[in-house]
Amino acid sequence: MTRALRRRHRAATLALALALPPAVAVALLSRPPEPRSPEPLAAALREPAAPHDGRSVGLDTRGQPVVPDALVYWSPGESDPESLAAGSVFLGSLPAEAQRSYAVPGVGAGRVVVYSLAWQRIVRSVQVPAEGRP
Amino acid sequence: MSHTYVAVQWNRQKRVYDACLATGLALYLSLFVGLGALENPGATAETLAIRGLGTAALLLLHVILCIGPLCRLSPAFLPLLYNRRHLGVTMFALALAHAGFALFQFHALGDVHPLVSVLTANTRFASVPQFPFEAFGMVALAILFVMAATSHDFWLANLTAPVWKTLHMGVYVAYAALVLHVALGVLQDETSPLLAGALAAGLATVLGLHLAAAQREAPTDRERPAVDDGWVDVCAVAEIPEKRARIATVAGERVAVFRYDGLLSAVSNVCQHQNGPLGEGRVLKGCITCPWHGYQYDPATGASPAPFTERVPTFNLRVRAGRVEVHCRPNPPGTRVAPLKLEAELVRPG
Repeated sequence: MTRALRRRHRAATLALALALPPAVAVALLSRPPEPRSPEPLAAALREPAAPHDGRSVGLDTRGQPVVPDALVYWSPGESDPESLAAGSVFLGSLPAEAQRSYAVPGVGAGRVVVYSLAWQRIVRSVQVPAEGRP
Repeated sequence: MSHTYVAVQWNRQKRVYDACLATGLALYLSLFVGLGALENPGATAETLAIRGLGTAALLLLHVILCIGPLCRLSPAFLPLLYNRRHLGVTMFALALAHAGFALFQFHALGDVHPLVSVLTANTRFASVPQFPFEAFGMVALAILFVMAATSHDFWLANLTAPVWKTLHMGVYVAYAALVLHVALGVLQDETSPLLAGALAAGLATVLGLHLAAAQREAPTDRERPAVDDGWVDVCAVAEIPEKRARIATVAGERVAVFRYDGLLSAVSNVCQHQNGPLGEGRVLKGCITCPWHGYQYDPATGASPAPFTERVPTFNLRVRAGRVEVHCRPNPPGTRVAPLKLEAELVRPG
């Protein structure tokens, strides 16, 4: 290499050597003390803001820890809260730091299920009664 | 050499190099997916692919970054450098596949465009543990794309080696972005000390090797003062091994003084192809041969043998009291300087 390129190369290496290890150390030291597992996050997800507002349900993740790649499904009828029923309908993604409404098909009872694609499991499940019922 | 542009100038070394690369990658990915499926039976094929491709790309980037300083420290590693660009393009392909799978798995199933989703799903820039680490991956991928797209000799010849080398130093920015992508991404959830330790060890290896190589190179870059009307003392004739060179910094740039067949010639140390260190090469069949990719130059003229057109500057030189002196003013590239004939008592092997 030319001398000018070697100087740039040395400057780049020195910058990396000075900046990168502290940045990685900060990232590693900032990790939560316990593994981020679905259970505490599931509990932290708020109840639907409007559990049965017409035929839509609301979910609010503002101020809550992030559930990675959360997807919202509607399982019609009475279903097992621990599994995603075969006839479930995909309602949309659930972003972090947002309040979202999801249109629910039909008027019958059902279950809103929040599923984390990253964790490959259900993190929240709320039963919604049929329209017109308390 | 580069008298004409062809897609890839395949030869036996390149085929062997690429076969080793493909075999190594296939083995790594098979082991990763196989062991990953055994350890985590619930993991989907997409998750295993995302992680396998991502780790393979990061591992390969470490290898790529270590090759340069290793070659500075020992010529035994030069064969790895010969086809390093194929490693770079392969690494980009792995990173692109990793990003594609991740984009599909995590952002393609919603009602927002996946690229919009990846940029807007998480905006916690003020939080370290929940930082949107995807942004670092995207920055790295963009840099790696530019490097892969311009990796061919066509771009090297048209951009010129200094511009091309400067452009490709972007790999250090990409490396920093990828390390942060990993540290702020997967390592925030995976608390196994093994993974954090592997990242730290990789970082320490890359930085350590670069710093060691820089320290070793520093003395060569010390400017040698002119002793007499622009003539600079370089070394004793006896210090130059036969068919090899001694390198010295003269007037701001490195000069290689070659000794061959009882003759001495001085040329710029910078190969025209990729700015490789000519002075670390040898004289083969009468030509200075670059150790990086085998580009050749006539020691007397600094010109590549026909039909090739590369030329490097030559330098006037003289011998006084058994010591070689080089004039600090370079001759225009390709200028013939009659090789200096060594007297009989100096022609003993160095």
